[in-house]
Amino acid sequence: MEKHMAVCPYCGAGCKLNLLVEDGMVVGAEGLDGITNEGELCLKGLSGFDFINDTKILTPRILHPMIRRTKGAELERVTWDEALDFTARKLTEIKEKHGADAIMLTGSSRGPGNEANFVMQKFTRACVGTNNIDNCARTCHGPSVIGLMDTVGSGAMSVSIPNLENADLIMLFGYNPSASHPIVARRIVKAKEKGAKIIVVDPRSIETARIADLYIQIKNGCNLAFLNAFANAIVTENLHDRAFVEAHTTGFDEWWEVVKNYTPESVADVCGCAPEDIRRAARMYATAPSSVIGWGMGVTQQRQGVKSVHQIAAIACVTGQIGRDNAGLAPVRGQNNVQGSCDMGMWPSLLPGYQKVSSPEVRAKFEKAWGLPEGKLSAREGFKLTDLPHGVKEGKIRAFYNFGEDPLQTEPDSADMRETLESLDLLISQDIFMTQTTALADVVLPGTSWGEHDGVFSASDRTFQRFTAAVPPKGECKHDWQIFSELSTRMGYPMRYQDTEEIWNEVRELCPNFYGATYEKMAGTGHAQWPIPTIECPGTPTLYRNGQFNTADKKARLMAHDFIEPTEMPDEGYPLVLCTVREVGHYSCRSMTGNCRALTLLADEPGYVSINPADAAARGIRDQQLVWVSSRRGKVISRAAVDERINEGAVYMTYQWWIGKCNDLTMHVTDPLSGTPEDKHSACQVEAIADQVWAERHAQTLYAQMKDWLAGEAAAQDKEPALA
Amino acid sequence: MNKFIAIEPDVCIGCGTCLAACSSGHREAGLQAQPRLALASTLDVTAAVTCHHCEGAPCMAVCPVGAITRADGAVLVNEQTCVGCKLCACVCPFGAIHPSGTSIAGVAGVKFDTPTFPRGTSALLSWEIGVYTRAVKCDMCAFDPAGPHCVTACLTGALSVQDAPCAAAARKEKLVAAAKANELAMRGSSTIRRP
Repeated sequence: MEKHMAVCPYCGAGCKLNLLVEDGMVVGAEGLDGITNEGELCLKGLSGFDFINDTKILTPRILHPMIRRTKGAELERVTWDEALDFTARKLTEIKEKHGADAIMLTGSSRGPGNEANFVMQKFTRACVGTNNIDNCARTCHGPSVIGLMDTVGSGAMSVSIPNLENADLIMLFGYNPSASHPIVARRIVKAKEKGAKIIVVDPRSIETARIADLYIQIKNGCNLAFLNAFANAIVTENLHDRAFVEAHTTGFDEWWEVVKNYTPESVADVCGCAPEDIRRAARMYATAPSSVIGWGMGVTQQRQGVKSVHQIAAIACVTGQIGRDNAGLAPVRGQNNVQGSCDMGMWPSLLPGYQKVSSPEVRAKFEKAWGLPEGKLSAREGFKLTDLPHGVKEGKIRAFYNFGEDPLQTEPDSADMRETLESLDLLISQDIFMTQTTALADVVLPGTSWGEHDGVFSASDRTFQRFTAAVPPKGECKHDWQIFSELSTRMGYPMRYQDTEEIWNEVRELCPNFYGATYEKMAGTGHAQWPIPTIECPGTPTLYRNGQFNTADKKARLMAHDFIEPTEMPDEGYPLVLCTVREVGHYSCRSMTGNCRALTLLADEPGYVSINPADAAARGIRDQQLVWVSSRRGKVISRAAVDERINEGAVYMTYQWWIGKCNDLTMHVTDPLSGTPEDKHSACQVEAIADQVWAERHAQTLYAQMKDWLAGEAAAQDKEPALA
Repeated sequence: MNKFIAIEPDVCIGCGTCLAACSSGHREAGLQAQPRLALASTLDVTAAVTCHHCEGAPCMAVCPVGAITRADGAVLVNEQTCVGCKLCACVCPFGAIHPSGTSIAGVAGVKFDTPTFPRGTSALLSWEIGVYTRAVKCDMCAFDPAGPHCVTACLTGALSVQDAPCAAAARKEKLVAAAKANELAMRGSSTIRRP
């Protein structure tokens, strides 16, 4: 049996593991002693390798390039040369006719790794000539990236995952680590064992609420009101660190002008919690020697995501709970390499290493390094991923290059997204699976899977780690960076790389904060945590030491905003709040985990809608029954999980299901500051289905049809192209 | 001698890693892939529940075909001998028997089920076309000398094997604690004093 070192391709915890290989098949995974996982793996890490072997449980892998010669034609397998020529010609035509800004691309925050993404954004900027590149952070921690860059200067965790267990207090706000990051939940259990106090603020009584010293159940959608009141309590009780505020922040007075109006009593109705609980939490947080705030999608996928992040950062700053090893900010990233996508400049306003496209010096540096004439790089901020639907409707976006994402599954309002994708002149999908999005594509390009290529991932806490190939590429799959290079070469900007290390060294040279992260340093279970500006630098687990923030004046900018209620409030027709959440055993659009035997056995379609016993009883719904869930956007079948941990008046659906698809119900309304959809708050209704056997069969029929459709589209690849 | 797997609910994060490890381990050993632990959660507690390998195992007593036996402290079901009568599941005090079988859905290719009953139906009553149900339960991973896979897989250390050395040590610890508590409680009740 061979063993090949890798980093888990699921959440952002960055767990090192060995892939076990027998006869060219990956047959198992075992934990390695990595910096964040210490040899442990959760169920996805342990059982999530099957998909590499093309099990076809959910959908087949794509092994050969395919194209539709004309819009709406059947997919046809072609040679790589033909596929790339076709793609280059189509993209060039669109660029000539509508301009470079009519082409939009999205990076992949999943298996491909940093090198593939770097080459993709280089292709976008240097060859296509646009900043229209984004990544799925837009729909998840985008507000954290933006909000933290505004206030403290770096859009990332300020503390490291291992140091969480040394904190004296951990406050979780809109974050359920047991489902999202079991390896982080493990650190929280360890912190509790070491005596830390735990505060959980969440509308659901999540796992961690059981071991919390204080659990505050809030109403859905009240975040900014709660945070403002929390800040108010800190200042009115004189718990703020005046010396720190004076020395290291700006804007306190303006901040207080807003915050002073939010007494805990004034928000009690909006938040649905006792004012004294807010005060108690504020006291515990401010007076603990070292406190960490962890947050997740509960904060970011809301109407006021960025503004809530501003306030979280402000709370840490006014109490001086930042800039120390065990005190700071912990927005834990969802996808394994979503930190990396942001690091690599898969962002319409940022070049790699968080260097702004608006800066002439930065552009000049990149132009010189990439052999471009002066002024070639666009200074214009590109489109956001969530601009796609209206960008296409308005005719501004004509082509979309989708790299390893499945927007038809993961973006809100699927019906609208489908119309968007179908209205494009050209949809390119570079993926490893025949996903719902890939099935609509005009060009299907098979990349290599995780397990078939090398690279570097960035874990959620800014830790770069290397992963390696365990098995050779299947079929005609090509490394993603090779596909981009060959396409770029055909479109007049030649790129040639020997391997990922050559690409990575280019990244290091261009990004001062990553320079010390050499492949050598990251060999085996090694790691490099940015900022790491020199070869000698051991890496930086903790940001903002001694109150030195990464803003221009080294001071944190305090910002506060007034609360507004969510866009769509429950009403008579749709009386329940719909909130989308995560499945512990599945990941992202589920194309990977849905093809793994153990994970599919544990959880399969149509997934669950979790509902409070009182809301279920009022609708005549019993546990495990199939039900209809409907909103103004659509209607899907799902299975009821009647659960006393769920707050009354709200239901929760995990977004991994293709039949019980919550994004058929969510709405495409975004936080104007980040373009992040308000996935955590829309209105819906849940109804019982009388004939349960019919419902079971109906769900199975829909599932079978879905699988048949995808297998049918993929079958085109079995027919070899005719010889030219 | 009796041994079993115990769980510390406050340490359990309900992630289901034990279930995945159990499923994979048994499938690789050629046994049913159905996990032999089940997660139970209420407002206050989360725990993966499994067989206690009871000394007076009621499942073993009621099995009409002798499919349940005891070996090396563990109560084992021979999945090949089992007739699927489900009596063991009815008498098990822990709900630790999981009636399960190999689905024939998918024999011709992609797996499509044809449900004939609501999924919420008790596993004791559900019946699937062409499926021979048998009792599936924890066997302490008897096929693997390295021991139960769930215990190794648990990432917070919530699961442990309660076997002779472990139980003896735990009992001694409890006895010592009880003796100390007793001393505190009884101090001054007699005239005897240690120097």
